[in-house]
Amino acid sequence: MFAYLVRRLLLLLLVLFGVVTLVFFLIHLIPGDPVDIMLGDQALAADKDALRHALGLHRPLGNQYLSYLGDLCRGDLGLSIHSRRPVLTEIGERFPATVELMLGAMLVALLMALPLGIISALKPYGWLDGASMLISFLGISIPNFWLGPMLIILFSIQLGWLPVNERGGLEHLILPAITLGTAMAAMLSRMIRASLLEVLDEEYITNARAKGLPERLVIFKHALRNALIPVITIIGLQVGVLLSGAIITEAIFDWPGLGSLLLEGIYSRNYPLVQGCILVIATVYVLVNLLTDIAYAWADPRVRL
Amino acid sequence: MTASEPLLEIRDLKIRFQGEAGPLNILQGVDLKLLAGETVGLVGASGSGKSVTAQAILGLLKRPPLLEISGQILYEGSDLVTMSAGQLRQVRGRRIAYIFQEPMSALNPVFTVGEQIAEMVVLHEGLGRRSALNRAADLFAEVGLPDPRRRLNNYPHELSGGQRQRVMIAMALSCSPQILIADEPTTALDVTIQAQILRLLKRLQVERRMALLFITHDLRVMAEIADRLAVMQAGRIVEEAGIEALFHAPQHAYTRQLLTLIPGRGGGRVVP
Ligand SMILES: Nc1ncnc2c1ncn2[C@@H]1O[C@H](COP(=O)(O)OP(=O)(O)OP(=O)(O)O)[C@@H](O)[C@H]1O
Ligand SMILES: [Mg+2]
Repeated sequence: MFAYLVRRLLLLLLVLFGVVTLVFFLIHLIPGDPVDIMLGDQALAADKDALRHALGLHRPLGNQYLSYLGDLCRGDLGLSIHSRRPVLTEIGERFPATVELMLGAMLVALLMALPLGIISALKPYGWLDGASMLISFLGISIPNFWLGPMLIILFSIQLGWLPVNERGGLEHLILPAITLGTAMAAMLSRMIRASLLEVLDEEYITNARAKGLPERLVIFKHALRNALIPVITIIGLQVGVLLSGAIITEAIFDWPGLGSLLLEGIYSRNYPLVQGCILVIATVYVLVNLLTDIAYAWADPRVRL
Repeated sequence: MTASEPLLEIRDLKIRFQGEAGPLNILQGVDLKLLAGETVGLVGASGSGKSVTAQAILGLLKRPPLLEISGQILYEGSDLVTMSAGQLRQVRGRRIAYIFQEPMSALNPVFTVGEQIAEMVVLHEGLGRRSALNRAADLFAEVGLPDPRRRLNNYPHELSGGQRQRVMIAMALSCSPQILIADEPTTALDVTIQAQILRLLKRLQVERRMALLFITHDLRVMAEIADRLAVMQAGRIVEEAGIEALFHAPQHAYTRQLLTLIPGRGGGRVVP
């Protein structure tokens, strides 16, 4: 277990190194530089040069890369080009909003997927299964950038039940979480259905019945506990999808999270900020995968790390 | 109950399954009696309907493939076929217990074997968890599992094949049933282990005065364990007799054919 963790954390470092390197060179390939954007097209060349020097952007790219890596090793993500505040501080301010959104979306996904998946598996090919399949199909095919505005129009503007924008209490979280969580719910409900159907065919389920256990225990204890094991892996993989979906969802709902921070950074060619955001996102992704594997081993006694 | 009155009586049991190409008559009128304390061996070729008969007793057949069931399965005067689900649950595991062929697939991989027995005792006898686990440990000792206390916390995959079948037997005994149904409980095991498990089942059956319905297609096994034999062919019981009578004067052609397969009898040889 300990050796496993060490191995996985070393792997994490390797992945992060790759991500940092890739992102560093990729964003410098995007046309336009931060100085042009900050000062505008009309600015004097001398002013631009002065700013470039002040920001250290005049140095050769390899040089900038090495000093960025050096800073990184000391835990310094650099300063945001525009605000001149530490990137880490800016990310720290936005990160909780994204975590809140993702947890909300995951909760929505599970609350929708569990009942849909279980009902479908208990009466496969019945009308409820058909209805749930239709819902899932819609959920998977409707894009966030359409669903989000539609929800806003219906629930905020027409009905006036929920606030439109920004972060706040729970009522602010509902629409963004539904927007982000629906696709995952659709996917998960079909997964849960398939997994549960397979488990219900196992002999240990027949044995549970032969022991005289009530259906409630047969389904919710013996079957579900086994059926959810593969679903753990899917949830872990879906976190990556959620992260990318969060960027769009945050833009739609003006949600002050990491995704909107990243977009702002890209528009303004704020190199350190973009790198910092992506680094954090990659770290979250890799850590969630590690957690998923640990959760899997915990849920399935046959698996040892 | 008098000795002549059967504990369990199957009358004209007919079962139809939904097949790929239409309904299949799987059981075509099975009649079978099980007296208190006796061991009845149910033999027959693969596919003759032994498992379907056994599972029908506890209502374990799933729809689909189950299409239609008719006839009666009388236990203590009530018909298990028409009994409500709630009443049937009072019989399952508590009055009639079932031992599956493959202990590995019949045990739930994610719960400890102690838990899988204890939950049953808690349910049927209203014992607390701790006493239920104590009961499980006692049963483990009774079925000859080494270090019974520690076995409680084992998961099925941590045990050997023979140990798993002992767990299954302990589970079946846990609520002191009157009837034990064992569907080829030794076929998945090594030959040496098979003999041990057979002896164990026989001993427990005598000690606890249970009736045992033992399914196999191995007549040699039957000679060791059964008092009476029922021979099944294509969904029917074609011959039913005491073990001596059947071995010495088989009435039905199919039974004679089966007997030739036993080594040292009628010049036949064992078909692998
Ligand atoms: N789930 C099922 N779906 C369709 N047909 C089935 C199913 N289970 C059993 N059958 C059919 O029912 C008949 C009786 O099967 P059963 O399992 O009772 O045989 P058996 O006597 O127990 O054989 P074996 O010695 O191989 O265990 C067979 O023809 C089999 O093909
Ligand atoms: Mg069988």
